[in-house]
Amino acid sequence: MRRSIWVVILSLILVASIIVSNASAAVELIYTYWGSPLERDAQAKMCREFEKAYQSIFPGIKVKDIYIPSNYDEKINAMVAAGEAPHVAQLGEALALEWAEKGILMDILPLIKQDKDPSVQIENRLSMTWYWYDKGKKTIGTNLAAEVMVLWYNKEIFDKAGIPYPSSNPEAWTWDKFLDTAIKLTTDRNGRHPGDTGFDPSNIDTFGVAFGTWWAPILPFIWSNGGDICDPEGKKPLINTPASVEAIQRLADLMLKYHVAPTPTQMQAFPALRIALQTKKVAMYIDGQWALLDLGQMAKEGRIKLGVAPLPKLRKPVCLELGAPNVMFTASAQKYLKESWEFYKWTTNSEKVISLIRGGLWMPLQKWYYTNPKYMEQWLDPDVHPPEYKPAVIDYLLKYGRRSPSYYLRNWGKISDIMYQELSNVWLGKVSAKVACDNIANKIKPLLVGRYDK
Amino acid sequence: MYKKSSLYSSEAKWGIILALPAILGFLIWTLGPMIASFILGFTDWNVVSSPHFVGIGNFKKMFVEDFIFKKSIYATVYYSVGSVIASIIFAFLIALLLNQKVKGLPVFRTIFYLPSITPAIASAMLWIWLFNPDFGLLNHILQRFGLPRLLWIYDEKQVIPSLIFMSIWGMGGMMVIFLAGLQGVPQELYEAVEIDGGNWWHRFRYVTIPMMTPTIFFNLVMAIIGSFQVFTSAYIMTSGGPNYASMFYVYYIYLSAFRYGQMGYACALAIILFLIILSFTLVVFKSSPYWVYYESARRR
Amino acid sequence: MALSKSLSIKIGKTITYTILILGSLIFMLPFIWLLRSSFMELGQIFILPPEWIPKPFRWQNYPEALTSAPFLTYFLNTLKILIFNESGVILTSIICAYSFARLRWPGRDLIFAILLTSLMLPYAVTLIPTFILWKMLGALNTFIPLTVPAWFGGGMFYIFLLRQFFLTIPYELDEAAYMDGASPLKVLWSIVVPLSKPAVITVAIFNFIGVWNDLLGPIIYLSDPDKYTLAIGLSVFRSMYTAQWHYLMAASVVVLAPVILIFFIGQRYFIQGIALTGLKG
Repeated sequence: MRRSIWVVILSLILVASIIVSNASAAVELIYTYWGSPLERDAQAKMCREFEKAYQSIFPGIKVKDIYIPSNYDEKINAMVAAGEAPHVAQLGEALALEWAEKGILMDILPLIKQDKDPSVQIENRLSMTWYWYDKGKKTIGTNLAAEVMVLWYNKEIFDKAGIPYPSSNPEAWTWDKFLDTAIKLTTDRNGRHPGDTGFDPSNIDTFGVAFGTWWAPILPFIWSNGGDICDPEGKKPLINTPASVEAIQRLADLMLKYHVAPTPTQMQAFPALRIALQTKKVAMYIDGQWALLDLGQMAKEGRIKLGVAPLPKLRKPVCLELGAPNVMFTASAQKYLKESWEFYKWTTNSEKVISLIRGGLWMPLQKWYYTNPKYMEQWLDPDVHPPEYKPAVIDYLLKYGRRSPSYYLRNWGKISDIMYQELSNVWLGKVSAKVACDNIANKIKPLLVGRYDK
Repeated sequence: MYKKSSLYSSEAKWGIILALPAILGFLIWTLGPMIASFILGFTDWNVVSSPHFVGIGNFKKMFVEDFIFKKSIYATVYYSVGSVIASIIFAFLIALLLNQKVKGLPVFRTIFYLPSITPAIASAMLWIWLFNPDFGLLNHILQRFGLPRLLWIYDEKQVIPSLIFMSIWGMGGMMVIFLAGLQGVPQELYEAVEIDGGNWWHRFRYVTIPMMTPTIFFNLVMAIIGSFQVFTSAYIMTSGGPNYASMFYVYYIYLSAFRYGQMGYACALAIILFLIILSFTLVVFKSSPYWVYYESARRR
Repeated sequence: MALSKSLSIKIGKTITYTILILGSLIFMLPFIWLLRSSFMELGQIFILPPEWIPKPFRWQNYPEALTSAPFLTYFLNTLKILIFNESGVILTSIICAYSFARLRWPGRDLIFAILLTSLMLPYAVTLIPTFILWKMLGALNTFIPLTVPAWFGGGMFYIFLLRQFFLTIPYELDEAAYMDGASPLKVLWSIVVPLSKPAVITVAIFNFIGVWNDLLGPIIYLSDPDKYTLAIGLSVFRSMYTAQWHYLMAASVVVLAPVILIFFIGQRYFIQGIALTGLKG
């Protein structure tokens, strides 16, 4: 008799605990991302703040933020293949659209339509940051932050040479002015400039300009000259049209004809171009605006007089916008749709990562940060952002911004790799731009199979 | 010749039992993934959707359309042959030197082993400087001797020889194994040669080399298997360039698998690599009875 | 005509020392470069031609790098993995190599060859199937994938290596022990292993270094930062857009130090082999 009472009591306790634990079954969202230690700290902080902010709505909610410092592609592939995909993640552009098409990533358009939150509405974010697929009917979201390619310069070098700064007006900053400036600022060991008698190209102290040879510094110039990688359908190569070839040849001439830019091998002498800018090895250089994180810090510490300008135009101004997207994985997010969606919005709501934006690494996504002075104050730190930032970067982006092919072109990964390989011979002076571009055109023809968004 | 028959069957039992960990390990975590990779080589798997069989489609693409594949095979075989020969010879010579009674031997040995344990990224950075055509130490030295400057890893034709040269640097592991092998050469064999009036060459030719053949064999096989899978130098230093000249095979497999999202194709590439490595290894193994001497080979 | 013995020895020694010293300078270059960079400011590290004296001398790189992340935790984790892994490798690789080298059983050589093929497929293709396998075993985000396989032979590299060494030991020694009624295991531990000290130490050193520096394994299988290892800690310094080279160098030197120490100590056991006199009759 007594025994059976105990059995009943114990079973009741067991059942009760099961009910209770299920009722308070806390949701744990998994979020993966990459980045420098600074980004890691900022993203981790953002996750903790989300947990706090949503405790009352989703009691017990936790975010497991997995920072993957290296081999990100391998890990995310393995996780997805094994069915261990995160709920929300940063993802490389090439993988993102492929996976979106296969249904692995969530189309968030229906969720946006149902939601009143202004930070995620299509029209409230910079239009070029949205990743569209399925002929433009679906979207996986936007970048984590906007990024553009700009021209950084060291004002001190300009001051000393008595040369006016590059114009912040994208229309006024022409290629010819740019070349002229670069020549005037390139000095060899004896203080001579290219074109002077006795100029020694093998002993250059300061280069007028420098740029990396991956696709992002090069593409804006191809576009600016009226050329392109391929036609708007994404089916025919245009990389070997005269306009495209001319742009590349002009860039190569900077290195090989005018000696105002270092060749890739000469660039080994600099650790990172931003350091070279500070140590006055280059007067100007082309890089993403993310360089502001380091450059701005140096400026704040008074170690550099920093300036920023739009990229010089060949025929018309163009601003290249790029960035990797944050996405939601269908299988995992479906299970906790409400929570995942709120968290996804949180990660791409620039307000939540304002510290990194203010530090210069990222640019905001929501339009009001570019138009409303109250919001602009929040992220434009006068100690970090140079005074001409607004016209040179913000207006440049808003007026002339064009999204990178990584947002829409199929096989972009392979295509950009082929470009890199073929062009390497141009920078070495072994082949002309025309020959290299013809090679590229031939090699990418079978890869041009269209776009994701058309 | 030796034992009673009962020991043989108990010997067999012992043999199998003691080899079980390796056999089980293989069955559990190696065989499955290997078979999976083989099967996937005949599919179009891209990790996220279900794989579909494409028969020999991947292989057709590889041999007919894929220009990178051909360049990759060439670069890898070229590198492998050069690197294996150079590293083994060099490692052996240094091991011989480090086997003498020299003052400061432990220090020397550690120094020669250092490059192979230094983090790859530090080594890569250093070598990028060494190879730099304008500021690098190597060209600096060449100029001192009145020789023409080279482009090293920035030239299509020079990149592989440059990387082979660099691989000699990392021969520390092989050197250590040779060192260990040299320890096992019985002293009295050397003494016997001396008593017979032989000099260092006789000692080397008639004692050292024959006794070291098991070790040489090991280093040769492992060098072949390893050099065909060279990856880091392409990944960190050259990105497979210039113009695909250093697009090593495993680097191309890695790109196909994780950057281009073509895991099935990557597996197909891996199958070809596997067959190549297997062939070379088999050749070496089959040749071994002719030149490898084991003190105690107990063949069935 | 023929040089006197002592003169030829002297010449031999001079040549030896010259090569060794010259070679050492060349081979020490990466380490010296690493060391001097670890005390430099970021901007100074890559100046070409390189400067060899850090100006200013930034010893602060060390404490700053090591406190930027929980390196002590990383160290303890790496140690935990190492202990479990190393003991497994040494134990089982010896046993298995012994079986393949000195015991006769049907199919031995064929199986050895098959096992060897495990070295011929690159990780890029085996990564995902292996990952799925571990997921099915419920071992994701644990140290299990990094330690348990070590107890199953530790990998064909070590087994192959030890097998080669075991094969150089004359069988008469085993025989004598069998005559005395020893079991194969006893022969292994009391005869074969003691004579193979250099080879066993080599395996121990190589595995130590392998586990210590392994980046891919921990990155793929671990998701909790408090489980991360030293190698992961180092990789953080080098990320998408920037690299904190000075911190990376400093931390690398610290992580490298135990490795150098272990090697330095271990190679002392590479002493000329025990004389095996009188056995060849």
